[in-house]
Amino acid sequence: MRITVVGAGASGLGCAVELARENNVTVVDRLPVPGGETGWQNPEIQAFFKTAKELGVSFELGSMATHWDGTTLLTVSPLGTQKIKSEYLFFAGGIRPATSAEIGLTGDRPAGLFPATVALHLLESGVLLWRNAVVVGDGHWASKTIEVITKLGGKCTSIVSDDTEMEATSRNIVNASNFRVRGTTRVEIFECDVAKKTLSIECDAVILAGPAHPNRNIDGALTDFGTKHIFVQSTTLVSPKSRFEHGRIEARIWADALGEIT
Amino acid sequence: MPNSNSADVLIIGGGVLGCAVAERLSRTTASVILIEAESDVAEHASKGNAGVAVSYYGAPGSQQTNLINLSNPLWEEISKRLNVPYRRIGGLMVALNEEEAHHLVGTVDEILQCGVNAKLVTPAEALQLEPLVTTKIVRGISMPDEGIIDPIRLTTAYASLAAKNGVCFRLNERVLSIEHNADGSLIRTDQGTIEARFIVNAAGVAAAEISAMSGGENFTTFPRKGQYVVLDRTYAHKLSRIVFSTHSPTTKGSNVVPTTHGSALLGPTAKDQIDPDDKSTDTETIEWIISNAAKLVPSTWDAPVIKTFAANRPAGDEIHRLRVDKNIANLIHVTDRSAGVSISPAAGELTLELLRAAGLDAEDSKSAIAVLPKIGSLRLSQNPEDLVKDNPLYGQVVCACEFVSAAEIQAALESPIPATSIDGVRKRTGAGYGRCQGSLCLAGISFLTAIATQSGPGTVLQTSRGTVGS
Repeated sequence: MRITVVGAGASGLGCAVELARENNVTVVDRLPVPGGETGWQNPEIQAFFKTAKELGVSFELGSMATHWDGTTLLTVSPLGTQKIKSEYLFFAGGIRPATSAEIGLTGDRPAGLFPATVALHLLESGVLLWRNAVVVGDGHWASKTIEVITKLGGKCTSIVSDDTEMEATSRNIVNASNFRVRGTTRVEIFECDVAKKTLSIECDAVILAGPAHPNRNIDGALTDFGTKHIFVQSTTLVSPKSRFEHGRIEARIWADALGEIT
Repeated sequence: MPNSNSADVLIIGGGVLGCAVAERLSRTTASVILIEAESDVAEHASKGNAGVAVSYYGAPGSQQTNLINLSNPLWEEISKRLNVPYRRIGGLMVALNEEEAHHLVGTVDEILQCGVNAKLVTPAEALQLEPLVTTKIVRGISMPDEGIIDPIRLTTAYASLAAKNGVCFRLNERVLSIEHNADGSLIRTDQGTIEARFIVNAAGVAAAEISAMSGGENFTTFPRKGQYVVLDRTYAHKLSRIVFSTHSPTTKGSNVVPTTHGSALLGPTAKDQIDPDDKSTDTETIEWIISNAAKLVPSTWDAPVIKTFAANRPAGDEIHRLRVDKNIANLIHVTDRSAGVSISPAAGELTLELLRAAGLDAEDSKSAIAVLPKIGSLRLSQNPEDLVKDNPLYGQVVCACEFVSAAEIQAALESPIPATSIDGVRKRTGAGYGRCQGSLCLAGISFLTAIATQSGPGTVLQTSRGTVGS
């Protein structure tokens, strides 16, 4: 069978490796290198990539998958568009932090409000962008953002549901709800309710760091409805190894179930 | 480009009406300066409205209705000429009970008196027009000439064409005082002075302040805040028409509006306030909007919400004001509370007529351009292959949810009135507008914007006013 996997991160590579033993597998990724959010320099990613190639998986890197109609995947790259025929689509498009709307954040919409994925990219420029950031959410984006901002000399206040895991370098606020942002030019205040009282925190940035939601962007494979596309997007696993294994297991479970039907 | 310190006409305000007037005047021999206090055109109400090019809004016989009637048949031609997304999808007004049904009889009479297409429909007919409308509908009005338009793209297109024809845009500049002399007026700003023979006051919420500054009529303008909810296109593509609430004597109500992006808007609410910069949303109002929309179209209830926002329309003691000032002969007011987009083509024409009548020598120019080059959209193109062949940057997708390519972003950063902020790129291309709200692409867009504006990762503008770094 021809199967296309979208996403050359750890999860997608896991799917590809598992499926390649019995199928003709192509992996598509919008980035020109494998690794997704983990990054191509990660040695584990490089090992997974090597295994996949040895098993005959072909790669279409630097191509954005845009449409899936159940038989054909449309991709676009600077070299042109492509129609990849396949019987099934595995979508391993990774995860992203919840948006303002998804966490119910209201108030003003000034400069200084960023998804953590964006904040981390910007901080890679090595410039101290914010002196006093509020980081909303638990998990790996939150701890990584706090780590980088602190390293560059800024402070963080962290809005978490469970403060046992967070860095000691930030001030932790637990059990907060009803998040609001204040500021006209740039964010000045982050407000939330804690034990029925309003808490106002002065800040110059608000970083949205979770909870994780699956990225979904291919028209025709956006919702769970449909028998020809399978989502492999764990919102809890973080390490490349665990995501790779998760991809393998999901692919195996799917293949076994399909075997039983046919 | 004319001398940027003096012109025949100074337009104050870079919203949809100011830019529409600039576009029309730019196709004449008159010299024009447009001044805008924000760093971009299409801020405030022009970027925060539902994007409905209405066929009906106000009372029969009014100037506003006349301008809507003159503008409405032109949309297909204008959207093609200016490369602005527009679709005449029609509207359906919904009565949910006997009282509202009774009210609709009066409304349909008024619409017909305005000379606009409309017809009362039964619940069965309404469900055929929009299968997603509530089965509890008691009666409806079908309004086939309602359309949806991208109001930001319309405004930036007017501005781009005006700039190409030589209108001088002075952004980031605020009017401080206006004096009149034998030749016209002397306008002092926070950046310098401008001499102009005529002034067009298209300052929206600030129109009363500009009029007072100029010694003109004493009227009031104030911000009326509207909050909106944006639904993802995974749901919104199922909608086929604009679904309106029954108008009440006090409000036009909150509606369900498909957008040209493929998403849908719920809203707006209407709340008068004092601070024009207060564009805050609140949970209670958002919840009301969602529950109100679900009464009209029940399936909106659990549709994915990608964004909430608010903007202020320029309300005041008149809903529409397009006339020469009663005291100052060279001052023309061009403001409209809610129908700015819908009257804009005809408002440009009428303003030109009033200026000519007041003595402006403005012949239609033979050399002026009237058409903007088409910038393809990767997502909406029928033949993406051709776009990529022409320009490989079309194959470089930056915004993964809306499939906005590097070519489109580059075009926005290099346009006659270029995007100078991350939000400016979003306004012109839709990048970052989608369901992930930029979590994948905003860093890339900020770097592209930083390069184009010669700023850095911290100093590049995120919004029209605020930078990425603090």
